[in-house]
Amino acid sequence: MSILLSEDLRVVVQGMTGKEGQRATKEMLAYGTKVCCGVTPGKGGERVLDLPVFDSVAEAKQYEQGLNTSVLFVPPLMVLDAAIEAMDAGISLLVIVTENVPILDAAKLVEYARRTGARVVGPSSVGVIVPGVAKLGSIGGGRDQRMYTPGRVGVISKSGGMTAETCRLLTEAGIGQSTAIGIGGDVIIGSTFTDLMALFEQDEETDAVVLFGEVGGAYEEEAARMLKERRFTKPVVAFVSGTFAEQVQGLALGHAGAIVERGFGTAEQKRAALREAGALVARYHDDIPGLVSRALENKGRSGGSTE
Amino acid sequence: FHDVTDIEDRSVLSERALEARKIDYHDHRGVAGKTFVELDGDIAVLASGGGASLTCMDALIEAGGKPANYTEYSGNPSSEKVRRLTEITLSKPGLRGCFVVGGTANFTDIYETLKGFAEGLRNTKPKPAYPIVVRRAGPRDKEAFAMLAELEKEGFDITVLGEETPMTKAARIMVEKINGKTDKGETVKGTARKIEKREQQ
Repeated sequence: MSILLSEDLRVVVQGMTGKEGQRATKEMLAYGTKVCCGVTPGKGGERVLDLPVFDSVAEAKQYEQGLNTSVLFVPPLMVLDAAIEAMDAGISLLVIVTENVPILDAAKLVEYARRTGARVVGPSSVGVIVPGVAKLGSIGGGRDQRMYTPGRVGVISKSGGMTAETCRLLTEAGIGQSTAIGIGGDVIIGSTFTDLMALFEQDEETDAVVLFGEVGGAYEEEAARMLKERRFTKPVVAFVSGTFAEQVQGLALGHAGAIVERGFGTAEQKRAALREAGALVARYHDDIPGLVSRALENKGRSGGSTE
Repeated sequence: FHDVTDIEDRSVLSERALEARKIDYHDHRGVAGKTFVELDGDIAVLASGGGASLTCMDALIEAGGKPANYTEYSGNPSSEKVRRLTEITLSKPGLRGCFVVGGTANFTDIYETLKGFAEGLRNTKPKPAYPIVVRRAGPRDKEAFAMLAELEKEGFDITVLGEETPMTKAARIMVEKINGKTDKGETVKGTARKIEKREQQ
């Protein structure tokens, strides 16, 4: 089923006792996600939303041995310690919702994840959703579940809000989603476009992928290279925002990673690279559903081959 | 988190940007005007959300519009903060349009924030005669749109669009309104009717 979320999903929420953590946990439970318990150091023994709270992930693991996923809402300066604690306890998927994690901490935890084999989504991730099945993080809110509908298109977005808008456009056009992921707009993130495209490539329930990219960094260029080198063979529809931000050199607008330095990483360069690699690139964001339909038709006509 | 002193501010920021930055100083809830960039154009922009704001600036430019500024508010700021940011943003002379845009908020109170916008708009002298396009959705949006309908009665040229209109389409409607092609815009009443209809279903 989809990517990232497995059938045996068992979730611990680090920072569940906080306001954000509690609200998101409530929504995750309402959506059918198997949240088992929470962790907040010093608050072990309390109960939140009728779930037990532990002092450490290791203790939580004794309570529920099947724990495999953690969603983190801890304050920015505690994310590194909390993430390492989770990985040391054998958690294999971490979704970090917290924003403003120091770049150096993000670098350290991504490096730690590489060594231990854990997968990290975020920091600054709005979350991961498999429509109609489960969700991790704040994605989808509690109010409107009509935005996300089950289907066969994967969505990977640097922007949390635009993950929702992108899926809404797709849903209104009758195109459902297999998995939608907000990867975060930070300079250093645990899962990039290509990391997740590799999973979508293997996923039998995904026919095409939509990328919402942004000015700055090289993650979109990496995605283009992956397409060009045929390491990804499904249709890709991409949108890259931030042309405007290029006029304001050296200042990150919107997201921390949305910054052009020494003329590198402009939105137009990214669009050109993706187009050249065979992706359909949307001029306006609301052109995305039309392009996805076209990409799927093209794919159908050529009998599933990408030629 | 990145805080600079007034002296440093003055060397790099415009007077309006400086004023906008001060909004957050004594009210920690939400962010309003922390980033304010002066631009050459004539469409005042009040955007919400990091990704959405950049996407909509691009769409405005792509459609031939010229933004007068870039600024952003998000994270459920008080109506007071949005009022102040609106006043600063609309203080620029020679504006020809005002675009208030954001996605579907998870927890930002749309009524409170748009109430701040409406107050800021009323406080703007001379009274703006240029078209105003609002595209927003989220908690209490229905109440917010009913409140904005009052502005239409007060003689403002305001178009209110909800979640059924993609935000980049709203950007094109903004530019069309400035260029005099108002037929494609939707009225406040039209949007309110649509919402009612949808909720009845």
